[in-house]
Amino acid sequence: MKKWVAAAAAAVMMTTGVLSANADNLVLPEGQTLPLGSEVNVWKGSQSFVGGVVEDFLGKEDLPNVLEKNIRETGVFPESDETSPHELAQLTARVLKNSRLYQLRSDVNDTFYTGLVISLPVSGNDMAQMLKLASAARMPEGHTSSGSLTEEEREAGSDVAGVVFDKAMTEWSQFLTVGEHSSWEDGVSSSGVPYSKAHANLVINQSGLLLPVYVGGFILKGDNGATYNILIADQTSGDYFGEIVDNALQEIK
Amino acid sequence: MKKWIAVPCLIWALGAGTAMAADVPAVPPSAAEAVEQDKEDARAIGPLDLNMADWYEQAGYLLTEDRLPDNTTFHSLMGTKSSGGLLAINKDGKTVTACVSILSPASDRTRMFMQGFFMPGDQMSIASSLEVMAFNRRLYRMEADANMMFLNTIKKFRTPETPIPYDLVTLSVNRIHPAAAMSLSPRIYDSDFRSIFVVDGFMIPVYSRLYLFKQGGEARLMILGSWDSDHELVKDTGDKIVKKLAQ
Repeated sequence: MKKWVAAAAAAVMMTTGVLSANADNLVLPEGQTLPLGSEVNVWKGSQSFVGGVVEDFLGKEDLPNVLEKNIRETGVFPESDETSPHELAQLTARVLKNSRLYQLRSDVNDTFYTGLVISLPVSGNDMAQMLKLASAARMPEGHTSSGSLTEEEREAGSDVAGVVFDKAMTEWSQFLTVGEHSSWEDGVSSSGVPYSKAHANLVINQSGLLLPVYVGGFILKGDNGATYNILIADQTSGDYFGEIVDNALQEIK
Repeated sequence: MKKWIAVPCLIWALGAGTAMAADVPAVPPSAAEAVEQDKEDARAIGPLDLNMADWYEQAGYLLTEDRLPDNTTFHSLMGTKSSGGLLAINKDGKTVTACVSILSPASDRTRMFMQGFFMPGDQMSIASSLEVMAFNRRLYRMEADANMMFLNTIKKFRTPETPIPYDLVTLSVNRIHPAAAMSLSPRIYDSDFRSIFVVDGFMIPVYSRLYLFKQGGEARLMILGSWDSDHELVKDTGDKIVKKLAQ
């Protein structure tokens, strides 16, 4: 599972696409617009040379086949399960095609701030399928099998993902320190768009190499699914952009 | 991360480049004699070839706990024999890291020449002042030199099948603080500059700061590198450290 998570994360990191972004607004793939103010510029990943190459790659018809092969190799699902790898590959290809990468930039107060935003729109149907596939996936060692999940747990949809997250946090605690952080907060914008947001300051310590990062998440909920957004930056830039994004969420259109 | 550490070193190497002066001034016995000796040395000054190779020797483990501010820790990447690694600075719930390296002159010639920056009476030799001017000139040329180097590299790899953009990697250097004495007694020289690497459209703002000071009877060069957004905190921390180290 770890490999699958890493592969998906790497693919997401490389993902760029077409997006209409104005200088001061972050326009998300589903059209929601976050007004970031006059001091922030938004650069879209699709403008880059590599972004074009990645976009071509994601547009290839055989992408689901490539993903399916990789998923089977990672052993996410039991060998007897013939359909789940195929469904997950189709689902992943769909989500990656719609995902976007942006860089936020701001040169104010004699300081240059930058941060990355990764945006993943997931439809209601895709989310339902994702939860179904998560239940079919192998459970990490030391936990009950997915087959023994209660109906309530299945409906909650937090079963496998939660267990994997807990396990990952236990493993990562050796080299990951969580500093100042918030819990998930729900809100509704002035135009009636419901959202959730949270952030954390993390320090990754790998063999003496320290990498402090700010990770912020905001989820915009719609009638047909949700858009999951991650803001990654150094902690100083994260503090700066985090506050701007918080304000923009209240004004999202 | 190691590549990230190399960036400020590369920038410094580009900035330091070559400078002027030929004969190394001897260490004079007193301030008055030093001035006279310096005048004589100045007459004989010709081109000098100071570059990173002259500094490529790691100083010992100098960043001990007592020399660091309370909110700062040093994480060596090269064991306990070197001051090359990361500074972790904690402030207001945030953690900021900066690459740090302290170098010593790698040759007797450079070692002798550097004495001109720390003459008795806290004076600077004419040869050293010319070196500072040469360094600053290179600093202002760094952007053009680096971009020419990037362009030539891209040309080597660009093919019709892989039409890499000519501006795939560019450097913009701005807000240059030229080398100057930040402290007269003891003598400490500093310089910093803020640059932005643009790699395929992604902007990577970097802050680089250099100190030249004397410690343990030896000239030392301390290099700091960080994200631009952390430049104030890194500068403040670097200043505090160098004031404890300089003698």
